[in-house]
Amino acid sequence: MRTRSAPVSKSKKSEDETNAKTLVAAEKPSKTFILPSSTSDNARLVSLPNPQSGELTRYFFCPDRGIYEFTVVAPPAHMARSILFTPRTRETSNPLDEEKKDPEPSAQGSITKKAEFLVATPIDALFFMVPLLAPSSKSGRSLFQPFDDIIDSQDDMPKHLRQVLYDDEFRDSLLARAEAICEVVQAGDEKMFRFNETRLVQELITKAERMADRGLPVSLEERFVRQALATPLMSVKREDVATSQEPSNESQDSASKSEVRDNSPSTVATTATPSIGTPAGESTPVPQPPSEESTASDHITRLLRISTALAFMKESYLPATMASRLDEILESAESPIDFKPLKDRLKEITDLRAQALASRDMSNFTRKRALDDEEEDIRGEKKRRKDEAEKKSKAAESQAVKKLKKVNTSGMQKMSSFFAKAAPKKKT
Amino acid sequence: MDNSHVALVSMLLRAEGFSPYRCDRNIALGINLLSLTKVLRAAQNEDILTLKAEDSPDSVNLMFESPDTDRLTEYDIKLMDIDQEHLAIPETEYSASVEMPSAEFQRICRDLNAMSESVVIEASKEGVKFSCQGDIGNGSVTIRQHTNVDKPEQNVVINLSEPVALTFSLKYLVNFCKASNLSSSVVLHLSDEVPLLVEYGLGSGHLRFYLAPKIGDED
Repeated sequence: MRTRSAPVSKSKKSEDETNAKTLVAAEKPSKTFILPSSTSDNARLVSLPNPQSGELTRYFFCPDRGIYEFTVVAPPAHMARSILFTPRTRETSNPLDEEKKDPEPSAQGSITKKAEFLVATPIDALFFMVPLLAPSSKSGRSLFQPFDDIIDSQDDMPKHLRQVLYDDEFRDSLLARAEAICEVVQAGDEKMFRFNETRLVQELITKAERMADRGLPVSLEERFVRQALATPLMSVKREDVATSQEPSNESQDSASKSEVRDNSPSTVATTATPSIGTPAGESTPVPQPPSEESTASDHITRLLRISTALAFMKESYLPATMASRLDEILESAESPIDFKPLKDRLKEITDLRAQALASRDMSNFTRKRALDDEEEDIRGEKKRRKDEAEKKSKAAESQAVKKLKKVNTSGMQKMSSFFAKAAPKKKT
Repeated sequence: MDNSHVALVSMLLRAEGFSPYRCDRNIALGINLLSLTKVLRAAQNEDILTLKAEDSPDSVNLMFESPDTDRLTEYDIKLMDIDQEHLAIPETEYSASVEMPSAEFQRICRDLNAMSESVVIEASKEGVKFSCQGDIGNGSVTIRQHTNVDKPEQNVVINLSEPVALTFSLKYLVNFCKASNLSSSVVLHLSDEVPLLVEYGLGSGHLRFYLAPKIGDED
């Protein structure tokens, strides 16, 4: 991530000058941005509809470099942090220069209440165009239209989005992105566009593949790839045999193909799919046991990475309707990428897990016994508590009193039969 | 009074036993004995104890002062409403009164308690006979008038206007005997058809136990 931030003077976050002596809180708390360097002068913060939800969200737009979304980097809520900004002497210009909020060089440093960075990360402009282009495709095959017409047909388009789309400098790269998801015909000197779902899918898969090859972020890798493929420990050995046999029995073409390749020596595997070996090594910072199995299912792992990346993009950048439409396409036969081996493998793992769980339930009697004991314990505890309560009420009387209760007092008259009742003042 | 209302205990501590003593008007303080015991356990042997209660109290204050160290301990015990009827106990002339060492009385009660539930106390010219009949057999202890000049606390004094014989529950008597530590001698007052009075003398006051006799089905 870029650490040098551009001056934020043109953004709306002009920092109020605070009196250094009295330490007055700023009226408008400042926000800390990390913005890309060497942006053009026309770069600005804009409110664009979020491609996923449609709500207006702040983005950073630069006609030269494209659109950036903001990612909040903040400490967890329970660990409050703050950032200290201090003025830096100008002669030591450090590339890791911390941006000083106050424009006056003589001013003192300041502290932000929340240690929160808004990091601008590039976002593909095509995601903004999908909602614009897609609706027309709903009613069967739509017509080829010039790009301007498509924009003009949107009446309720947010002002900022319109500005971005009409930006002359940005137009070329915008059209290039539009071409990636549309069929294009040349009509005279004008290009006509028609949205094509298959192209969108293809484009997304390309993105996903790139993402998978470069290595998914650690958290995604751990959660969705490693955990999803983890087989129950106790059945690792058995499961190896099972995978090599089962596919042939069920005569699943693709599955057996992949499995056969997996079982062949690793050198063959790497030569057959040269792109697999390296990314797996790079992209797994999570310590993985270098077992045979992990190298064998590289193809599966890659597929899972791609599907994870796709899922991430669908969740984050595409409207729900479009995401479900994409799912349909990926399911169908004309899908450009075949997830079948992956699905089979995942199903296998689920079965194995269920098996392991079942076997554990059946074989492990001690465990069941323990549960029963616990229940008994609970019951016993209830009883004990009841007894204790009783005891407590009894404990209000002394040992001697308790013993005297048992004494046979038959034939003994009550004291009141001997002594007259209560003179108001007790006499002894 | 105990739960079955056949026994009664009364204790008197006279004002001269306290220093200082101040009481503006009569008040009754209902104190849970168990709670009082708990608090008193916190006191040490030589501590000076001060009891305090307000005019219309809802708690009584106990203060322990250690004479040696400057330790000061204070407790408040919540008072309780005692709904038991107050019985006026008349000063009665008893037919017989027996003064004896408290340890001796305790021993008799304990020994006989092993044999039977109840004891017959017969006071006559010859002396006082404690006798009992149990499943395993019977037993009796007789004590006579006795004067020990060297150890007056060993004296046995019997005053008798007419002979009496009464039956009492030994279990109760055994409990009464727990007060033996308070006094070296005990006085038993007996009359027919009247509760037995067991009196332990305190320096300035007394501790009195009353126990209804067993009448009728003497077993």
